[in-house]
Amino acid sequence: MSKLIGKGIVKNYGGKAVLEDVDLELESGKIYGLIGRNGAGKTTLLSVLTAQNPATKGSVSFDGEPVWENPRVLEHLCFSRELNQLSGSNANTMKVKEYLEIAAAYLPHWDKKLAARLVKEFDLDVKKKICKLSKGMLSMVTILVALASKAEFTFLDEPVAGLDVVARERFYELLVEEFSETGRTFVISTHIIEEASDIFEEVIIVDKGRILLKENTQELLDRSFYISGHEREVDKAAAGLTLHHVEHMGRSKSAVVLLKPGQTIGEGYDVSVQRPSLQKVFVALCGNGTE
Amino acid sequence: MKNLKFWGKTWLMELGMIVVVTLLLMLFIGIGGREPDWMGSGTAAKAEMLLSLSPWYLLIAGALIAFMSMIGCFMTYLPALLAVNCTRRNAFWSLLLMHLALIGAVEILCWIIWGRLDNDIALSGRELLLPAFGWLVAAVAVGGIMGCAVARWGKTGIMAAAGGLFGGGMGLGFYSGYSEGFRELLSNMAGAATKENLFVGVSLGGGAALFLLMALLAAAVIRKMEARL
Amino acid sequence: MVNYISNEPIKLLKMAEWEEVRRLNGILTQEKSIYLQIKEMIENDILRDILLEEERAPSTNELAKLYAINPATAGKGINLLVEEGILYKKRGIGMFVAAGAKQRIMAERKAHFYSDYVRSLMAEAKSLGITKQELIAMILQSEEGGLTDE
Repeated sequence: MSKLIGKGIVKNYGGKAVLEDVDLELESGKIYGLIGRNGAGKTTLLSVLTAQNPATKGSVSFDGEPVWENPRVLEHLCFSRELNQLSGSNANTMKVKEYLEIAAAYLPHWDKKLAARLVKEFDLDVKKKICKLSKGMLSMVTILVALASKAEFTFLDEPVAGLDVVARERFYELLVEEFSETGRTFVISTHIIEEASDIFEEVIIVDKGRILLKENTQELLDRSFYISGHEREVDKAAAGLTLHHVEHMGRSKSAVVLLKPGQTIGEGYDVSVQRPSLQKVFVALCGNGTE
Repeated sequence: MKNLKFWGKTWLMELGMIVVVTLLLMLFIGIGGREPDWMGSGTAAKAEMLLSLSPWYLLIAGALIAFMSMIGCFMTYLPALLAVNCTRRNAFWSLLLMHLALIGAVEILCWIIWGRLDNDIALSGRELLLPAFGWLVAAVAVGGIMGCAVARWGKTGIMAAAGGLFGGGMGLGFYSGYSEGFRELLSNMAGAATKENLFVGVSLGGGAALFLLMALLAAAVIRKMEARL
Repeated sequence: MVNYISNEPIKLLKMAEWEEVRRLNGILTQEKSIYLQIKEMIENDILRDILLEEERAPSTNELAKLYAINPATAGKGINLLVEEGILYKKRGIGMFVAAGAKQRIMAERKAHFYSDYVRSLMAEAKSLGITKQELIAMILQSEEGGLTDE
């Protein structure tokens, strides 16, 4: 089993710290979900982990070997980033065909047949320039490159950003199919949390340049609860617990709690206790209103 | 090497463009040009004349395309290459080597063409082969420097660099227009005939120096370049 | 582990994910762990004779693809069923419904019937002031399911 390990990663952009002291360990054979607010540092983290951009401080290693400028290690990685119609460089004046050819030339495990199949399925016009593609098509190119790369650790940045719901469901299908067949590791950053939450074996939450948590999705949900009721009762039942995303309406109060080992919610109080979705947990942790 | 697939293809494509531009230049400029009267008329003579002049156009086209290709690589290809796991080291060396191979091919073509002809044009051309290589190298170097400018500062960077070059050229032109001494130096240099080693030396040396400068800048820029599409 | 469901109307929470759609429709809800829902879905199919004994059950990958969940999660549900003797594995072919699975499932659920349904029924009845007699009368008059003792 291979491991991609980031230690003490710091990334500054023009004086501003985008990533601060990030430690992360990724194992092979899993599907990870990377969620975080806009600007939390997800894309930067993915870039640094795959040595596409240098870290200001810290190191990234794969099975003990450094990733930076190391072709032997880079063979195992693929970062398919979000494509834009406008971007910093001029690279998006390239035609899709050219981009795919470059990918095929440099990604050693590239599966030409799969790529061709996906081009057909997605109805991609490979003769078009990247900057002229629609949002949906851009996402499809991202997905195509990621899947056809057949890399052991594949990272996708917002792969479903431009897709409608039917296309999104198709993506999840393709992803699960590929994972079932090959057991490749996928790390997927997304804003559309709920749809994808069942696919993520582990979820990584990035907030303000730091890793807030990295946990098995089911275990996280097992220890998350949504408590609501009269504010007095809620406070008693949740005594000693950290309340997230507290909301008040009149005399009623509600909050999300994450139990740490050994903690419980007080029994016998007149409160309702429900299970929040992953999305709700995320909003609770990364939104405001923590008491 | 996987590099060969991509850069080899690019080399071939650029070389093709050089040939096309050469032909176009010859078509538009060559035809309008005067016929030297020491050559007899008739298609064979015309053909020989065109052939003897073609290396000149090859050199011009070569410099132009190599220059533009360097900039294009910085703007378009390099960020894409980095995005598919090409190492920066790899990108740097491939970039430089491909362009050297490109102008090398142009140089060889000129050498072959002028080598096989025996008229005056070819003879004087042969003398210029060495310094010409220096100019080609300089063209690649300047292209690379502009490429670095655009990679570092975006489109404004390239405008600034282009402006700087143009301004510098204009300034030099004006200066030479006003300064007697400078004009004398220039005419001495030109009149010094291509046989002067100084001319060859300056061309090659200048080209090499520019290239070295460009290489240093490129290494720094590529190292910091963000992979982006 | 605290695991009780409130009686408050779901609407109060103004979120789309609070669907009260039950598992019978094959839509996964938030209420129970996904792998448990998978387990129950297969059990329901066995109870309703959609899956007969000695027939092949859906594989981990098929389930994962169908419901867009992680194959590991689907596998967990399947493994539970294997542990409880509801499914068994035929090497190289797949998962099959064990003989007597239907009976086993019914017995298991019968054993939990009280805690799964009756307790909350009684609690709700109590909060509404419905007496035990009224409850029994309702049950006796009910047309749905359940056999009447002669």
